[in-house]
Amino acid sequence: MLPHIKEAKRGLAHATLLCLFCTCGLSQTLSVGGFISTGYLESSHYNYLANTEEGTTDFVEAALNASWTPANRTTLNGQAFLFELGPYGNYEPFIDYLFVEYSYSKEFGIRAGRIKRELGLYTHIQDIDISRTSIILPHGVYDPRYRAFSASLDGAAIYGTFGLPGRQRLTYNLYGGHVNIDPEGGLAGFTLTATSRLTIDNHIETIDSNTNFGAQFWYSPGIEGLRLGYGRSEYYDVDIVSHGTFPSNIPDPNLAGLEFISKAIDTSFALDQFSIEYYVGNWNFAAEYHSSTADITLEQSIGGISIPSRGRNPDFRAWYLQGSRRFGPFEIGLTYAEEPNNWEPEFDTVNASHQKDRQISLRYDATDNWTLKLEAHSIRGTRRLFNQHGQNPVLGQDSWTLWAAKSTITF
Amino acid sequence: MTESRYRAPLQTALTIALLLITSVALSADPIVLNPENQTNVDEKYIRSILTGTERFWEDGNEVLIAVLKNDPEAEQALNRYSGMTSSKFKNHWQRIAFSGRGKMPKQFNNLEELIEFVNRNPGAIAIVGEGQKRNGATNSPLTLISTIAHHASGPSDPTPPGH
Repeated sequence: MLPHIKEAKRGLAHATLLCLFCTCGLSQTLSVGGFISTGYLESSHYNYLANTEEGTTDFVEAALNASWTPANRTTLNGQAFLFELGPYGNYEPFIDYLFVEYSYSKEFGIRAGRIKRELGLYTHIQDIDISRTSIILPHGVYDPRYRAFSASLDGAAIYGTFGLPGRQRLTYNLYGGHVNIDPEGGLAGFTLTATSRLTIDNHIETIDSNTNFGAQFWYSPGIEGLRLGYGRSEYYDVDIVSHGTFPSNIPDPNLAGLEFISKAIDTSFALDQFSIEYYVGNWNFAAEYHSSTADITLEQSIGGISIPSRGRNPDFRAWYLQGSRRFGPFEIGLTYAEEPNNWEPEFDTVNASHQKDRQISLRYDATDNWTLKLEAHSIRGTRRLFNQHGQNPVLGQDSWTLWAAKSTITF
Repeated sequence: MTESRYRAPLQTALTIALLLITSVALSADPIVLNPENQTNVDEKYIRSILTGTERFWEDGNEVLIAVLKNDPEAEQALNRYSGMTSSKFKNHWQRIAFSGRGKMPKQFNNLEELIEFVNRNPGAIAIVGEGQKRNGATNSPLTLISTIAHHASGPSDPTPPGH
């Protein structure tokens, strides 16, 4: 990230923190809250999300938020956030959201500023560990490394809820704006992973985006606890330029030492997500199907000579099923998540074409403000493993295990 | 002849049944509002408030929800009106509050603090248990929503909110 942009963002985050504290005495209708979440990750093979093979505590999230109602139907909401997830986040505070909201009626409201981006059940609350039973959200559908451009956007949204005949109801949220892509974030990691097993000294020269539009609809058919959702989100004019150098020991000596440049200009992405959630008594069930397609014009060159474009528009699909039950302060959850074999393997072994995860989660609400969680994942495939830092150079093992623990304090 | 012979007992039975139904309905509405709040509410409206769909009253005041902690009666009432268990209710509001879409319900350890909160905030709404309603809230200047049965326009809204 450019230093002055980084400084500006840090300054904005600090200013917001200051504002959040300073507004404490302004009104009875000010509400301040937050959470601190610390965790541990360890895997039997590979480094997933962080350096998990040796076990890591680089798994932290913290937020401070405030909501103030200065006038009727008008609220000002802000949250400063920081996180650490292996090479991502680095404890740098930033503005997660900061927007003004006018709720004209139940059917129509508007938000403007930095707003949360809604897609499916968890995109807008992906950082909030206490909002769910599991520690890690189903991969392929939700990836915490992508939060820099998936969690928020600078723009506006309109939202509301309409009553339909009988006991049915339809909720909508339409949004548009600009998303910020972190050059050290997950999209950069994904991009560099594609070349990092062929070239060395890989880095992102440019990563930028223009606009993001999206819609999320929830339909409640009148059955207690049941809702069905459809969301679509489209990104336009995403530019990613990456560089790498072929090492001297490459099998083809003609390539040794040559620079590899990959340019994806004006790329667009379209994401679709179908969701269903049902709760009854102490049971909670959810399932989601996610698909995304990319329209990519890829220009690549080796040593200054253009090579034919691959001309491929990859699409990704992922889905999961989840069930949980609460027993007093305890909650136990089971999840099956799969990113199927929908993309031909390249560069690596066949393991990289899929990832299937069977997951068991245990949550214990020790007090009103303190939650503890344990989780085990039995995983097949390596589809979601990155290698931009050389953390997963060889993908020879198909089955592996991931353990996670987390403690969250809210206030 | 036969008709007139049965008319009086039938009318008496119907009157008793109506009184019983009204009594049950009145005693089963442990919802407390600030007296300044003149909104007519029914169960459907209460459900919309407790699920975060309605965030402002008709007069524009912000809805502020207050609940009693560790009180089985209050939890039962909350379950009835929100359609959620107390843990689900808390989880639901954490999702809302931490994404900037509403304020967490205030939790109180005792009735006095809760009533003081409702008295102080025009947009406050509290869920109390039957015992609290009889013993505490009725002695305060608060508006007890014992008229839901009269305003009820239909079955309660059972659908979850779209947050």
